[in-house]
Amino acid sequence: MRSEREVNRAIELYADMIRRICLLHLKNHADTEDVFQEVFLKYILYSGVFESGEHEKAWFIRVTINACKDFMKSLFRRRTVPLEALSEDTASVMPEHQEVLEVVLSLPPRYKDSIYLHYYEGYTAREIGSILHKKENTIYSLLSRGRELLKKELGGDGIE
Amino acid sequence: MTALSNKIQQAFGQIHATDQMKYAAALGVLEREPQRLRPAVRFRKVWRPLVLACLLLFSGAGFGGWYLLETPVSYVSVDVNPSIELTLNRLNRVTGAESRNEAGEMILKEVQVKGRSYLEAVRLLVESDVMQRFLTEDADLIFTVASPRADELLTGLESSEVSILYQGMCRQADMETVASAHECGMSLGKYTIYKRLSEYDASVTAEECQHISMHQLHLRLSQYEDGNDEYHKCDDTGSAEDGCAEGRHHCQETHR
Repeated sequence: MRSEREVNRAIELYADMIRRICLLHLKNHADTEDVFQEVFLKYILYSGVFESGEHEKAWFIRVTINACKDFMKSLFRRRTVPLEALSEDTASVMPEHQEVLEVVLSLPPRYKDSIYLHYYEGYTAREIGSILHKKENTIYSLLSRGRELLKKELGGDGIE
Repeated sequence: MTALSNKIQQAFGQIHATDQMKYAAALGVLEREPQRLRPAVRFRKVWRPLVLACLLLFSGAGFGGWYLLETPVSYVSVDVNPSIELTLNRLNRVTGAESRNEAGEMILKEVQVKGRSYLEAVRLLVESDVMQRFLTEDADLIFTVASPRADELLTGLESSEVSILYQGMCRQADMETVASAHECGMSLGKYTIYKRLSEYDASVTAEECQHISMHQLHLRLSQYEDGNDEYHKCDDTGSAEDGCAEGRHHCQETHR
């Protein structure tokens, strides 16, 4: 079991990233808080050893995505999210970036993780495949189709 | 760094966890954690008698349950040139997997699909290293389903990630076709196309078809059915789904 100090360190280090991943899947402030706690609870109870900071970060990504998916599957959870709830989380974003954010969030679920991990976190297709437990080729296809959809929505000019 | 990458970086860079969120997480985790460590004690007091009662109940119903779970209900074949046929139980979980050629055999050595849901099993088969070698630009990936719940299975396959990414074609066959296909030592998907081909070319044999890829079989068939646009690739568009439905309809009629 991990100490309080370790938990606080992890919260400082990964809270922003977890919030962003939650935003991709949940789009709801209250749900995000629940997943947030679930992820750090798993961390405090996790007895494995992380070989490096990168290993730990990849663990947090994987656990957060799984926690979001489990949350979405919950029988008691409301399946629809009102539009106001979506704007609640993106309200603080500057207007010129709001469109990009909303377009990424409106992508079909299968593309969002790969797009975020590649374009924001800077992971390669091979690394994303290893985190998401998918084949590298599958990630290339997801990135390629996701990119096409983004270009279509954002306008093709200047986003190559 | 590309412009798209820049835009995404800037947009997501503005999303941060609030201090309130961090505080609530730290507090929540440290408060809830001891409760998580106590369930062993609670389990002994409250749940153990209940679990024992359930175990007795289930052991009585065990044989019936086993029979229900192991009885084959549906068949799904995955054909490119590797041909593999999955047998599913009532819960759409794989109870058996058989290869219908050498490449299929290699795939089944690589991946374990028994016990998995049919969609997960299909994903593992398609993403296996051996299958990936066959999934070239011009390859045809065919899913053929024979089941009393074919619509449910086909809907799942049509919207699955691998079907969309690799442009799989989804088709339905009658349950009677399963036995005929097995007699010929062929998968459901390959047998279906072999039967159609043999209607035009009496010289074609089942043995010959086993070694020919689905793409080549489709090419040969299209020589006879030129202009018959029934093979539509599955895609995440409405029109493509319509195409699959047409394909299914045709298969059903073929085997009646």
